[in-house]
Amino acid sequence: MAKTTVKDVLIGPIFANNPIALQILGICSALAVTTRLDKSIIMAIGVTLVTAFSSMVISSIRSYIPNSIRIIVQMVVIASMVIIVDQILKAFAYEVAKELSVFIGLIITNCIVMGRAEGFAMKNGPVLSFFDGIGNGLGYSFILIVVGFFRELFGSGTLYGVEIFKTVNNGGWYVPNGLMLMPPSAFFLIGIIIWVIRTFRPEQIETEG
Amino acid sequence: MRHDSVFGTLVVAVALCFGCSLLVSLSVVGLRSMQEANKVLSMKKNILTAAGLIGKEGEKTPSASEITEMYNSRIEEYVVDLDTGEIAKDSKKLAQEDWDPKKYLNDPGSIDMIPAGEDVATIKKRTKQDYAYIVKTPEGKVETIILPIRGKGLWSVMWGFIALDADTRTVKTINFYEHGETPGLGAEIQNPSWVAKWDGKEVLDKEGDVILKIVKGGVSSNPEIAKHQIDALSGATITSRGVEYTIDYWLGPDAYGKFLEHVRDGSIKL
Repeated sequence: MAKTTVKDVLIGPIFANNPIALQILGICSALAVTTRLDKSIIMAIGVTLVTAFSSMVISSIRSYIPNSIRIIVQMVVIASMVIIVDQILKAFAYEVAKELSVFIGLIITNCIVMGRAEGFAMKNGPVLSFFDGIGNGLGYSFILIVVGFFRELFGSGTLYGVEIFKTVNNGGWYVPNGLMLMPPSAFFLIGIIIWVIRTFRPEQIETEG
Repeated sequence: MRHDSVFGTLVVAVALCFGCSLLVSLSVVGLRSMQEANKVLSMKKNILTAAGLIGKEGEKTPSASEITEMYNSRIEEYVVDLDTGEIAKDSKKLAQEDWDPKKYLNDPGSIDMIPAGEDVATIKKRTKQDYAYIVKTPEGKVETIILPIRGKGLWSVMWGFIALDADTRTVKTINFYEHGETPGLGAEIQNPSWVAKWDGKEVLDKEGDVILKIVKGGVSSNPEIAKHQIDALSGATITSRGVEYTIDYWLGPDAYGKFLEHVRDGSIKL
């Protein structure tokens, strides 16, 4: 087996092995937080940092983790990381933390974090695991930001809170698309993204039957 | 492998739990004072926004010290006994830890359960005493009365402040600072253009009963009727109704109604 390099684990998950588009992990939070671009970006940063640091910690203690309780050990490490991230946000970015605190808690249950801990960090060194976490976080961020971009633009007529299309409510011309603000629209957008990625990378298409 | 023995497993589990709890406790304890300060500051900001003192369009966001200074110089805090409508005897400057209304609501000694029939805002309980924030002119005349309100919308409890004119009947503004309503639909309760519709509306009639209605399809063309009406948010019927019920409850006789009556008949001097 060829040796995995930092570059592979960092760039790979963005298009070639995207955790959302190919592995279909972490969909739940991708639906919940993407109604606005700013929330998507904060969530993306949070998940990236938590995945990176929890992978690093788990990787560095991997030879001590008893096999029988490894999932629980991973959960404990991830949960502690998430609480610390939440506390730091509350102290330094209170306005953001207030809106996001529910979602920050949800990072614990994000399948990507756990998936990388179990699937990668348990077998590889801390440095590589750290970058694998960053890479997968970036893959997740990419989808989240694209989805957040379209949902906020067409759902509210704004981007990052700044008005782009003047909506009817504010005396403009744009009638906001209510569907974009509902969770199902994220499904459609993610579906379209998967379609686009697989058009350019046909090797990702599963064989049928 | 040694780590996979029962004893080894126990040792690793205990050590890990200890290490993680230590980290979590350190971050919680170490950052608590900053978090508390943030909470207080954000509440002061909400009150100043409701008072119309900050948050005007095109104005830059005031710094933490500016907010504290403005708050201390312009806002007077009163504690109101909601049952009698009187200013509570032990009314005092609020201590920092008093700033979290949610914490108060979990203290069985300081709350009343709201009987199901009276609970129009669907909030189940309220504190026996609550705050009223008064803004005065430099000459000492009451300019604005700001009252905390909350009520259930579609998904969540909406927390806010309503600012009334010194006559206690006319709305100056309404500021919802925390809610979980649908972005773009119910969350438009924070939209400045909708908030602007509240300015100058009369919520109370001559007898002091709440008569404000949130109506679908635009307010009446008759200004006498329109001054008691707010145009509902489109696509957010239940949120709009929740706002109406919230006002009904908090300005009604079960909450601040008696206090406002005392202010009107002059038996409370602010």
